[in-house]
Amino acid sequence: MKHPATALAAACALIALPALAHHSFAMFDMKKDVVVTGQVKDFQWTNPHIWIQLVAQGADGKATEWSIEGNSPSVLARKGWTKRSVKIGDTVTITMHPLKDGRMGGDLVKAVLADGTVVGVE
Amino acid sequence: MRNVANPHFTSRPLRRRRARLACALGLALLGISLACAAAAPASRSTHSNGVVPEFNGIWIRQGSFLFDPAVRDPLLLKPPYKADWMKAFDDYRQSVVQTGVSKLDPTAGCLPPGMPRMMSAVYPMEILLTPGQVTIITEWMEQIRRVFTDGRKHPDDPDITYVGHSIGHWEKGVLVIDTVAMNADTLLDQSGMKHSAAIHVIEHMRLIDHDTLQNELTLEDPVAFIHPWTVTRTFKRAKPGEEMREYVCMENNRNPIKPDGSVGTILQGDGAK
Repeated sequence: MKHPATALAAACALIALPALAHHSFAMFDMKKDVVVTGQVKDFQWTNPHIWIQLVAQGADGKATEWSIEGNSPSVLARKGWTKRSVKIGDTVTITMHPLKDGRMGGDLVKAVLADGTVVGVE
Repeated sequence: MRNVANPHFTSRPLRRRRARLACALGLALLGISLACAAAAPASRSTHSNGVVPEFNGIWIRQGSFLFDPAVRDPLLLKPPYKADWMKAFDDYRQSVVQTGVSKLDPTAGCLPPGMPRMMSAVYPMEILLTPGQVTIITEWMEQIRRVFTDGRKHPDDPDITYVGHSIGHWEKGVLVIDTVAMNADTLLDQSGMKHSAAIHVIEHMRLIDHDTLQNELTLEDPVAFIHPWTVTRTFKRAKPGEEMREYVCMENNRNPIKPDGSVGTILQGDGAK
């Protein structure tokens, strides 16, 4: 049974701020998830945000590089991430909120290693 | 004088012993106490009597990192703005929702949050008590506040800084902090709430229990607000062994502020084309 309050809560959640701090994440479409599997080209375990450069095959068969922005090491380390969580050459499946402007970037939601290990804990 | 023989800074057995002593000595002790208090005006420092609340340590924010910790959605914030300030804020927050473009926020360009935004402690904060000073260090942007508890006053004409000028004193275990001279270019939080140069911040920090710190912040801003705005923020003590981390914002900031004030996203590799 759908309660009006539930619907309202869901609507509020959509426009709520993500738990990211350094800057507003309004440039990402928080309502949309994109899942991409590829090889890690670079893992930048840096402030103010971590970045994963991921090379994946697009629908046209051509390899393209995604720039995926995560939270800060401060937040991720406290969720179990380390500078070795993702290594160059690893095959990783990443769920992200894509950039609204359609470019090849997104906000990291989840990273799953080839053996099925989910990086970090929520 | 406030901290001299303050019962809140002494242990219970000590208090009982003092009570017996006071009964025995009666007015004589009262006379001595008053004399001592009058003779020791400089003993207001935090450690003057050896026992102050155990604020020392690393503290983790509870609630949202908006100025009002009970609110997670910027659209639900209710600052006591005057009409013209409220309209500007409403227009801005609506435009962020509609366009997806966030402007205004200097921290995106790695400028510090300043006071009072730094006390939202987006990442943990550390408190250090030393004689005459309480030092508050926030992990986010590595801001440092020095709250002088040695009895000094604010300077007559203080320079304007991001953290402002803070003086504090203890009232029955509560640290009362008064802050002036804050940079008006900072925001209250990421929602885009501004304040004026007239902002004055009063804080009451207390321990609820050993692992819970509460900070009641009151903002007075006669230029922007119709009345003061008070929020209560709670922190939990970090787990043993947890350390403050380094935060150098310019290390790899791929979200610089663009000329139009919006926050950019720098992509790399062929996907950036």
